[in-house]
Amino acid sequence: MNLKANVERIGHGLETWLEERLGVKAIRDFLRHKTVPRTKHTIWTYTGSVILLFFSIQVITGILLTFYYRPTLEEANQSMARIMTEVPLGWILRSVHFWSASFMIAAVFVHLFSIWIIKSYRKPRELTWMSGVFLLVLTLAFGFTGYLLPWDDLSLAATKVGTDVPRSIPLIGAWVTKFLRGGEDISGDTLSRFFSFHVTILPLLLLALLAVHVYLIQKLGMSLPVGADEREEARRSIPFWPNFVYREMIVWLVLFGVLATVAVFLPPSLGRSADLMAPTPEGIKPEWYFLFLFQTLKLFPAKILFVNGDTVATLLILFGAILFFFLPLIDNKPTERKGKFITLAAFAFILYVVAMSIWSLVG
Amino acid sequence: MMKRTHGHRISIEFRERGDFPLSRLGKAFIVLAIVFELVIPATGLFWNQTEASTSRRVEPALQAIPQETKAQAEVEEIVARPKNIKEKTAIYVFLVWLWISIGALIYVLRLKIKEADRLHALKFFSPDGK
Repeated sequence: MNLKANVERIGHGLETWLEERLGVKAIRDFLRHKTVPRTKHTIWTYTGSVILLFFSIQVITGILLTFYYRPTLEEANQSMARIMTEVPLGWILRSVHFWSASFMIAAVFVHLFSIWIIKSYRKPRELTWMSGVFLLVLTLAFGFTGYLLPWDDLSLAATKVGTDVPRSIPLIGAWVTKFLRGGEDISGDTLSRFFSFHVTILPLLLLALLAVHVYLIQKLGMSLPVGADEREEARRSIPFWPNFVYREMIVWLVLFGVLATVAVFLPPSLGRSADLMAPTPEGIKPEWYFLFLFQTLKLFPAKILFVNGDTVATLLILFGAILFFFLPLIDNKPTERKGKFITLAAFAFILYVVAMSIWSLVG
Repeated sequence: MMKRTHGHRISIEFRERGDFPLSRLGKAFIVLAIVFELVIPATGLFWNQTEASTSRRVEPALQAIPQETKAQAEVEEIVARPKNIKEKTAIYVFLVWLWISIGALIYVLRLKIKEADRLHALKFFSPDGK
């Protein structure tokens, strides 16, 4: 018997063995019969898997970084310096982790805004939207907690400002700040707390929510554009496996290449070890995804009538976030209605975010 | 004689037409490219680490580096960059190779998409074949 026949026999045996134990055929059939609509909005459906791609890169590079990182006041900055100067290719590992986080957050924003504009959150996908908004909050929390870990001047100052924001919320604000910092002020407890959030609590929460989100997408299927003819769209849809996955793979490959290139040419630097006693440096700015919130807070005066300006600003931002979360309940029109006002609101918000971010950068 | 499978039939059908888009060689290329793209850099990371640890064991004088790094971290900003010309060259070569691989994989994937779309249009996998 020749080699080819032997290989085929072993392959067939392995397939039967796996089939008897795992029922792989059922999964394959499910994927083959699952279809994806092919519409003018199909390009936005790739953003979901792009988020998963960057999240996977985050997990892999994050695990490799924890081999060397030490979350204590004395060693955090030194261990990061060691990663960047001693560990072979450590600087690029950190750079990939850093840029992948930015790319992931950008992908989450694009994903959510595209869903807002094409109104895919409408009945029966309200819960998919809400779980998506929670995922956005968790992704931003990843960025916020990860920013402190290098423990340099900039990260300390940004965390001071960031953890001070909730203080202006009436009743619970002071408690939230204390909870985030692990005390009245930022200390070693804050660092270990943020590390714990970053590597255990947030990933667990994110995985659980992601499971819910993906389940809802599988159960309800992908939405069709407003006013689309269902029969016509069903005729034009393509199988998820392999037709859609091959297309997604092209997007992943290109973005992976872009990420690697950016990580090589624009690696983040590391400042000197943070000094808890030092005053907050002038002109500090948060990461790009918090710039619009930062600028919004700066716009408010210290006092508005008898109320603290920060309190008004924080409450307004919270109110906006609540509106964003309950968007499917606010815009609960039938799927065939266009909802021009909602589209206008989406574009206005995008414009606001971009304008505020640019203002904060150049201001 | 082996029994002909679905895959065999479709291969023959397309070969006869002269436009079968992807051979076994193509499939092998995809697998190899993925292996190289993901596994080799990761292995390199660990391999280099082992090399570095070994050299530290051999030359105790190098153990002074952490203290040096400590002092350095306290006074100035650390700019991330390749440590030496060897690492710099390796990184650039890797980047070029990565983009060439991506280009080749995209070419192969486009052929695969074409093939999959054609099969879908033929309703090849639908149970009733209609």
